[in-house]
Formats: sequence, C-alpha cells, structure tokens
Amino acid sequence: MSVIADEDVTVHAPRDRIWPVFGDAALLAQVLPGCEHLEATGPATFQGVLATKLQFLTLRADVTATIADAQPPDQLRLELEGRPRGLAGGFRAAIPIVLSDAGAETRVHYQLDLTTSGRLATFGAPILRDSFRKQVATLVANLERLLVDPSGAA
Amino acid sequence: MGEGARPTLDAAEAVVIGGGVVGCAVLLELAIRGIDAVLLEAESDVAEGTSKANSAIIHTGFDAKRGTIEARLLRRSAERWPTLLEDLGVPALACGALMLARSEDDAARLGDAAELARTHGVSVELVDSAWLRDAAPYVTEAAVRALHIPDEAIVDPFWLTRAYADAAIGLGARVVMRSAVSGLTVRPDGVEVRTGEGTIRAGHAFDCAGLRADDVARLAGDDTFTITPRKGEFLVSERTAGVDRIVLPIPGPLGKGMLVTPIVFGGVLLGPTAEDGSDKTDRSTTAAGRARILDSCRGLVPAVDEMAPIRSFAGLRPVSSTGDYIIRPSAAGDRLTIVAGIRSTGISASPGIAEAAVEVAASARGWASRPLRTRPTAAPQELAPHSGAIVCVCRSVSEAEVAAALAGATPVTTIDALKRRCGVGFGDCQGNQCAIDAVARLADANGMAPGAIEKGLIGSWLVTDATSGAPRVRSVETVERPPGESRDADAVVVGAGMAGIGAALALAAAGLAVVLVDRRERPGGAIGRLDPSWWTDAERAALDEVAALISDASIGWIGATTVVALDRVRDRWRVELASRRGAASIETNVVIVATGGYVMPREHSVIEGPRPSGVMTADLVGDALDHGWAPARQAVVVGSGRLAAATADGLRAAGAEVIRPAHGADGADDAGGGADDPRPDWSGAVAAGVRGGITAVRGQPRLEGVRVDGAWLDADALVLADRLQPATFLLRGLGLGDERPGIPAPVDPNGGLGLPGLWAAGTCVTPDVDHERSLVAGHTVAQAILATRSPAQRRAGLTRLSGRT
Repeated sequence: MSVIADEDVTVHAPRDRIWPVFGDAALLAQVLPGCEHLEATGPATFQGVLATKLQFLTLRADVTATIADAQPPDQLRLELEGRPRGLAGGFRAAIPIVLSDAGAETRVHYQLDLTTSGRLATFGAPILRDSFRKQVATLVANLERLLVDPSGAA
Repeated sequence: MGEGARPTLDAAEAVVIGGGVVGCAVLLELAIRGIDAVLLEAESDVAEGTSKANSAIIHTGFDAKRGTIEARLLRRSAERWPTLLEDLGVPALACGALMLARSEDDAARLGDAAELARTHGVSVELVDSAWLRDAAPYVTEAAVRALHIPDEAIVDPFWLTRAYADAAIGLGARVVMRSAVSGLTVRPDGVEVRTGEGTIRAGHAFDCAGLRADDVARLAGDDTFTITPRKGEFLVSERTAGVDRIVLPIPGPLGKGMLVTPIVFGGVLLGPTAEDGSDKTDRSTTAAGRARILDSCRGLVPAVDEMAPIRSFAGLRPVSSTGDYIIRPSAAGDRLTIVAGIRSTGISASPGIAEAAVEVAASARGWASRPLRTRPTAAPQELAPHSGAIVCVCRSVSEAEVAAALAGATPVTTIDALKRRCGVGFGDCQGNQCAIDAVARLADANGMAPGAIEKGLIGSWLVTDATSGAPRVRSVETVERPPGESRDADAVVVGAGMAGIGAALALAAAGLAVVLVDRRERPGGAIGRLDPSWWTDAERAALDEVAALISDASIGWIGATTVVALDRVRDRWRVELASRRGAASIETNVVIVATGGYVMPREHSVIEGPRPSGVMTADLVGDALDHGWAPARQAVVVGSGRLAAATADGLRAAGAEVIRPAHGADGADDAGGGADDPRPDWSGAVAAGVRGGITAVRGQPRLEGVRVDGAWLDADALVLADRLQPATFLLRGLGLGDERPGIPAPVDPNGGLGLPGLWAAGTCVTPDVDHERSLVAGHTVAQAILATRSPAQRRAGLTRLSGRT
C-alpha cells in the first residue's frame, strides 16, 4: 500500500451531524459520489456499486466498505475493497478519517492508502489521486447539501 | 468501421485536410456550427503525424513571444480548456511546471520570464531552493531558484485528438482515413479536393496537413510559405523518481530545451532534442540523441540516471517560414484557409486555432449566423461487465477494453490505433507478446485479412498474405480443468513453463494439491512450443509427466488464464484469475511465481533508426507461426541459443529466408538449427554489449535493412532472440517488482520473496533466454518449500499421495 493523499477538507456542517451519516446506508448512498446501490451487510459493513469517473472512463465497481476503529464522533477508518467491472484486478483502500470542530464547521483530515492490482495499477498514481480528490470534493458537496438542505442531496 | 464501410463522399460544405490535433479540432468547431464537414486523413488513424510524438503538454503560453498569433491563441485556449477537457473526457492533469535556474545568471533571467508570463495573464511565482527541496525534492541541488507555473498541464495527445474527432462525428461530421489529397483546385464558387478515392466538391477547405501543409497549398498554386521539419527525440521511462511536475530549463533559441515531463498515465518523458532537417518522414532515433537527452535531463533531475527507458521515439514539428502560426486565407483563393506552422504548441492552442480558423472562413461563407449546436461531448467509454481474458499481459489490458476501443466512433484498423485507444502494447515488451493477438482481433472486427492489418503507417505490414501452413500445435495435450474445479489448493504455480512444471511435479510428488495456471492453452511455456527436436530428454519427460498428471487430475490445470493479482487474505493467498470464461480466484497456502520472461525488445537497447514494422522478438514470431502466419520474407535473426535457432527454423518452414549474422563478440553463428542436427549445442550464452552486432535499422513503413557490424543487410524483419527480460508484473502489485525492465524477482537464496508462502523460480529470477536451468530451478524451489513444512503437513501429503495411487 502507499499513501497517495494526505489532506484536509472543510465541511460546512457541524461534526455531530456528519458522524451519523457513516453508519446509515441510506444516507451514505446519498452522499457517496456515483453510488448506484448500497446496502448494509452488518453493523459496520456495506456492499454496493459505485460508478467512479476517471476523467476518461466511468468505472463501475462492486465495492465492500467497512467502518473500522470508530471513535464517535472523532475518528474512524474506512476500508474499501473493490473490483471494477470490465477491468482485470481490483483495489483496496484504507482511509483514516479524523473529524474536528472548526467553529460551526468541521475539519476533516483524511489519508488515502491505496493498493491497486491488475489494470488499475497501470493507470498511475497521478490519475488515481486526481480522481480521488474530485470524489472527495463531490462527497463534501453532497454532505453539505444533505445536512443543510436534505432535499437537495445528489 | 471496416475497410468495406468507407463512406462515399462527393460533396460537403467544408473539407478538412489532415487528421492531426488541429484538423480534428477544426472539424469539431465546424460541426458545432452545424456545418456539413468531412475530414480527410492520409494515414489509417488520426494523430499519425506530429500529434503522436510530442511532449503532451497543455502549455499556458507563459513564455510565448509577445504579439504573435501563437501567444494570442494559447491564451484563448487556456480559457477554454477546463470546460473542453471535462466535456470531451480527456485524460489530463494540471501538474504545474518548474523552470529551473541553475546559476545566478539564470536566476536573473527568471525575473524576465516571470514578467513575460504576467503580461500574458499567466499565473506564476518565483520560488527559492528551500521551496524546491520541500515541494520538488527530485530536482537538482544546483537549482538556486525556479519559476513555478502551476497551470501547466499534461494530456494524452492521442485521446485528445480522437476525442475531437469522435465528438465531431457525434454531431454529424465524417472522418475518412487513407485518403491522401493528390489534387486541390480553389475556385471562386468552391473547391475540388482530389484523392485516390475520388473528388469531393465543397464550399470551403482547411489545410491542416501539418508537415505537409505547404505541399497541400502548392497543389492549389499557393507557394507563399514553406514548412521545415524540426525533429525531436524522446525517451520514455516507467520509473518516475517522484517527478510530479514538468521540469524545464531556461529556454534556448530552438525552444524550451529538454524537459522531464510526467506522463498522464504514469511514467515520465525525457526530451525532446531539436534538430532542423529536410526529410519530413525522418523519425529515426540515434544513440547521440539518446545521450544528449540523458545528459540534459540529468542536469534537471539527477535520478534520470536510475531510469531505464523502455522506449524511444522521434517527432517532427512543422516550423513555418514565417516563424509564427499561419492562419489566413490562401493566396489561391479565400475558399481555402491555411492553418499551418503549428510548431510545437498545436495541442495547447488547438481550441483557439480551430476557433480562429473557422472564423476566418465564417464571414465569407455566411456561417457566422448559424446557431451553435449543443456542447460537444465524446461518447463515454463503456466497458462490458466482465473483463474477459487479458490481451496485454504487461498492462493487464482486458478483452472488454479492447472491445470498447474497437467500438469507438473513429475506425480502428491498425495495431497502433488500438494501442492508443486502450494501451495494448504500451508496456514493457512493447507489444511483442500481444501484437499477433491484436492482429487477429483487428482482422475479425474489421472483416479484413490478417495480412491487411498494419502496424500504423500505410505499408507497415505485420504478417504476409500467405500463410505458413496450418496453425502449429506444440507441447502436450491436456484436459481442461476450469477454475470452478479448483477453488482451493495447497500450492498454486503461476506459469507453466519449465520452471513451473518442475515445481509442480515436485510438489505433487510430495502429495500437495497443486494447481498450475498459465496464460497459454497448454503447459510448456516458451520451450514447450518449440519443435520437440529442441527439447532435452529431461524436458520431454517433464512435459509428458505433467500431461499425465493433469489428465488424471493429480495436478489441477487452468490454461488460457492470466493471474492478475495476488492478495494476502486471512493468512492465505488469494490468486485472482482472468480468462475468457470470466473472473475467478483460488485460495492457497503457497504461491510459486514462475512467470518467466519476454525476449528483450529493440526498445530496451540502443538500435538507431526509424520505427518500422518488422522489428520484433522471437515471442512475436512464435505467436505468428502458431497462428499459421508468416511475419517475414527475409529475416535477420539475432541470438546464439536454441530459441534463436528454433525461431530461425520456424521462419524457414514458413517460407522466409533467414540470415544469421556471425557477430564477432558473440562468437560463431549459432550451432546447428538444420534438419541434420536435431540436437545442437545451444549452450552458448549471449555476450553483453551490442546485440548481435546490430547497431541500426532502416526503412519505413516496413523494415528494409539491418546494420550488422557496420555493414547493411537487406531484410524485411529483424528478429531478436538473444536475451530475456524477467516478467515480474505480478509482483509489482505487492511492492516487490521494479518498474524498470530487466530487474529480476527479488528472491532469497532459497527462492523466497520475503512474504509468507510466496516464492519465485525460473527465468523471472534468473533471466535465461534458453531456459537451460528452468526445470531444475523449479524443482529446487519446490524442495525448499517442502523443507519448510512441518512433520504433520508432510504426513498429510503422503497420505493424500497414497490415496491417489
């Protein structure tokens, strides 16, 4: 695995409203970019299909997500394992997330520790990093829409 | 679209001559305005000229000469890029650039460069050495300051050119390949464009012919400008040394100088050189050019010395006699617009150039009042749900990706066209392991004969029209054991070459449940598909034994299947498989990586000259002969071992004349190889240094000659069969492989890879083109594995073994 992102983003919503989203499949499905299907398979595990735009290619992947080491409402580790449809190989990601109050907003620090195999491994870290950053930006926007205006989440 | 589906054209509102990035951008601009336009491309694909060989940068124009058309259109393009890239779905990254000052004199010039950039409206900042150490530790310590240009970007130039064309086709435009313009008449009421296919009458024509723009203009009687080719050589490295920004020196009189540029799909590009010439077809590379590139780029990024380039190529920039872009009505009449002299910023300025070129014509043609069409979009690439088999093993490109590429809007009829769309052949072996499979798929998709499939340029044939006879079937017959029957195993051996077979036999003899996986349909690997007269007695016995054990299910066999990943899951290995039958996985305690190697392609060594078809490795020859296709008529075969001799035999049997150069450094020509000597001495090793005395090739589009020890030999094929590169692609996903070619699997003395239960054996550990020690190597690693087993495990194995017998 290698860390390809280590960054902060700010969500314009309080931390105690963000945290519950991580445990609710229906809410997660509303904020995860390109989420076509998501269901809880256990208290902290989910399974679904995500369509991720890699600039030139929309990649549908069967994904398993696990919330690990959760310390509400401060931190958790999101573990993802996915198999893109149509491409050989897959990916595994560990995303430690730390939330801290920043006034009425929440600062979210995250890392992306990513392992790719097969075809994804040949795309190169720059493309994957760029795509992940865009996904995070969309996730933040979706979160803000959901928490500020629940009817507007995409 | 196949050859038989070429559209018949006799009329259009506008004709665009030339399918480079500028021509395709003009086509899209016309299509957006609702103008019925057709693009004529002389070659078999778009981006076959200047657009295919350049630095692949979207340049901000920060250093453009004030007052030039180039500077104005670069700025206009910068405004359009963000939306355009998003709409067209083109791989691009705004990575930024660093112009390094490596002396105080240089540093003083940076201030001027910053001022120029700001006058163009380009955001820049001057940074000091401390900033560089922190943000770009890969640059030379000699850098005292730098100009940081954050908006410089990199792009896939093939994708961009094709996306313009695809989006235009989506709006009703037409693209016709293999339509070189042979005549052009400009009249007050229209133009006539003559090609080998016929004559097209149109209201307007755009000369976007790149290097040939002056030749096309002269067809119409316009000799007001000339185009000079400026050659630039490049090197490609998979190892990046952390380079994540474009690194460039203070520019010189011939341009920006040599750059170190990240590639959007990974790796870095080094170069280009800049050499004015007169031959518009000379894309040859030279040893001197390579040395200059490495020398210059090392001065920017010292880790260039640790990069092992996997490819070199050369491009030609069209330099106009005016020193600037030429975008204006032709002297032959205003129904022809000249779009020429797009020297080295064609990609960067293409949106602005297209807009300006169409506006030149729009008022005269009455197009200005037409409503614009909806925003252009390239058709999103769709992949089938299942990947299918792996076509390109170096890059794990799947059948699904190949199928998506073949289904695109612009026709795909050549190997290079397929490569640029899905990456087949871009990897370490440079297509030598997948080109023949690609020929078969292209022929099938287009309804063409295999002999009609070309590498890229017209005339760059790959296999002759004549077949070499029936497809060869070598090696042993086996009973297929589909993956579903082998979900669990004590050991999985990846690769059924001699090392893999040696390991599998030894482990099976100890009672382990062994599964043997190989991308070929039969076990035997590189040696197994040679004529049996080339096998040793031990190899013959091993092949027979493994066939027998597979037949009675004592060894599991999964053929025509590629292992795409190894995953450590709950203290076991999960082996991920891809095949035409679908994806599957096996869980196992032990994995032996016996993936062998691939014959070192031309690109991993220094052989000067152009890049014609006909330069290949024994891997490609073997695949062609297996299909019953002859890849040569007159071949120079390099190598002094049995692979070379057997390959030569195969070519002769397919009707080719074979030349085996007797290079002094390698000793005498290979022993034997004829029917009178079925068991030759093939123990001679290839000497290091120049490969078989080969220093250069000539000819384009197909190889015409090979220079051996200073003398030219006429040949239409150069077959390299002298050295092996270890295939360690599978290990890279575990952080164990090296992205540079030629680095073997990193094993301990017993063959262990440093992770529990993971081993490697054979030529992926000890590259040997003739696999002399592979069988023994596999057996030895198996013994090391067995020695690690507990007494209870050994007893269980013996019990299982007695149950079988």
